Amino acid sequence: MMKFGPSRGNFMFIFHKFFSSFFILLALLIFFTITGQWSMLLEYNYLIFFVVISPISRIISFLTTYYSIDDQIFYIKKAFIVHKNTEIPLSAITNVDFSQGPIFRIAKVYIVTVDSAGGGQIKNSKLSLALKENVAVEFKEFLLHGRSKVETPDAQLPGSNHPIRPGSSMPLTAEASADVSQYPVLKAPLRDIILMGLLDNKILGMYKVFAFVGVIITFASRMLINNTIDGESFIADKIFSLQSYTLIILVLLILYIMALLSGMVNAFIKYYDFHIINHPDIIYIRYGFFTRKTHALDKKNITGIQYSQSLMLRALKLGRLDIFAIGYGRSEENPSAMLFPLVRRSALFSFLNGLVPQTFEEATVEKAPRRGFFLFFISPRFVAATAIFAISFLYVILAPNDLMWDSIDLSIYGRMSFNDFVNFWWVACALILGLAILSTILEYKNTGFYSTSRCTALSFGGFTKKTSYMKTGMLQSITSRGTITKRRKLHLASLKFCFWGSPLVANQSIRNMDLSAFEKIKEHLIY
Amino acid sequence: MYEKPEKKIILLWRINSLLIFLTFALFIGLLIFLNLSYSFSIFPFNLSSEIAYCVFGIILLWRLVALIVYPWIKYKQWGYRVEKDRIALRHGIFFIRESMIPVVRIQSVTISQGIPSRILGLYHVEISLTGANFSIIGLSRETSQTISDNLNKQLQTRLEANKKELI
Repeated sequence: MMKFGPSRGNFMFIFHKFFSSFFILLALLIFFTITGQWSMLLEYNYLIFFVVISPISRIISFLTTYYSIDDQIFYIKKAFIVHKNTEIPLSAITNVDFSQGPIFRIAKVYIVTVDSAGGGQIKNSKLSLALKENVAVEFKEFLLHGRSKVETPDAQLPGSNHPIRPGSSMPLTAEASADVSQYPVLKAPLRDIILMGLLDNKILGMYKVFAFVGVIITFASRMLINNTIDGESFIADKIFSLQSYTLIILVLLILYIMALLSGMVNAFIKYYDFHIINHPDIIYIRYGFFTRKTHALDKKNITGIQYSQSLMLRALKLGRLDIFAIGYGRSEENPSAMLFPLVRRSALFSFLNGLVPQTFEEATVEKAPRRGFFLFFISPRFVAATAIFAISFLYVILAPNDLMWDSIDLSIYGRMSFNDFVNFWWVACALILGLAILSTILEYKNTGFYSTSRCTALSFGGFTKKTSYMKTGMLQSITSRGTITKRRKLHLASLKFCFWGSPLVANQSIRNMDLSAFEKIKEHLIY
Repeated sequence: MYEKPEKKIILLWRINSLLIFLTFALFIGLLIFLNLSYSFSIFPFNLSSEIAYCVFGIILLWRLVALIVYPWIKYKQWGYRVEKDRIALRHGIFFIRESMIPVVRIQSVTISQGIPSRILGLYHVEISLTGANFSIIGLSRETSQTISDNLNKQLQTRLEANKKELI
């Protein structure tokens, strides 16, 4: 017998997130209408289309979706174009949240969000509907009926104004509400934080510095000389107009040094006073200079950790440690928490055993077989780099007098002659291809895995090697992928692991492993 | 040993491929019409009409092959196996994917039917985990209901056992 429904909920659902989704479009339409710029309105006719079509699709979705609850199952029935009947056991529901915007407050309607495990980005795991206030409270009762909950007060960190709740909906144990300062504290030395900023990937850092200086030039030109200059083009022009390669390399070196400095300053500001409080059940991670951040991660919800090493960090036998946990990682800003800035490779497992004993262990790593080496070159970055190099080769060697060269405006490159341009282009393409080859070889050398009853480790990546140590018990599913030839003749396949955790980090893959690895991992899945 | 979906799924895939083929043909037809209407080439990088038409021909030929051949290859390679404690799936055309899903990891089960599936009497069982989704496609009504009921029953048993542990 149904305790609730079948019901569509309240029609106000049509306006859920309406203003945040369409505010800019509506504002533009109103602006064009008021200013009478009808021609611009017609030019942006797709805006009208989106503003009109989206409410219609919401209305249809509202009219064709029904919710009902019995003693054990939450049913969702959708019947428009694609018919879907979803059954979610009530015990799988982790959270039922209410929210109310200003218009909903006037209408006395709640938006009810039902979360059933995972990170909310997987199909059917996060649903929203609108209900009148009294109906919403009853609805929540029906959904959470029978779940055992241990109500405990939230923990409070010393010096913190807010109660700290673990990233997931798992309740805290009673001890967590006590003063946590009695527990061991692991503090990251300031030199490690600065060193981490220094040794992190610099290519992106150089581009950020380049873009930042470009923006400064654009604003300065607008304010000082009343003439807008595109900052990035201005810098590129100046670099290319330099007379010798030595000067160009010097400029790039200066850019690199600026990226190093900005990396160090960023790391200092972001991770100032980084420390971990090792409570028996919860790991508290605290850091920040201007913005103090505190993460509380229930140890039971930890899915795994990731050890990242750029080339320089690998040379120094150091790496950065990130942690993955269920319920943590619902947004692009927080896919994982940094567990510790720099940990020595040789001390990694003793460090982890201090925090989460009997969880992660070392074993013999099975590397990617040699017969799969050439398959690593079938990758987008290598194919793109080869294509660019090949096209350049064809044009320069086979068609040096092609009219296409006449159409290139070399004046944008300053005093560069045609021959200099060709040489520069060769160097650039050769460098890109060289980097792609090196990165692919490193990827082959870095790829490997092992799996025990407690811990599954995956190692991958080119210039930055990443090793994920995951709890085998958190492994949800595994998939092997490969062409028929690759499987039958070479006995190789790429493996994809789906772990219980935030969707942004739950799926991890390694390429071109022996097919027997798939069979080995199947044995460790918990059935 | 993998079980096969209903053979009618080949027709469903052909219908989907035909729709994609017609969409491509319409779009290419529109481009050709616009190109003929203007005195200059509308194609990017000043591509000549002959090269553009060759590219269009290759695309349409590929979609035609996909319409005729791919559904048959896909059916040959599609298989599923539902056991007491696990589900194995195997599918793909050029890249074969084999997946192993423990039943205890399933969070919810959905039975779905699009418009062409409704006409052909086919059902799809969608299995949601916390980090991924899988589908067993092209089933009859009875088979889909049986699989869904069995999975839900096992899911209930597992969750009841978890609840008792917590208490």
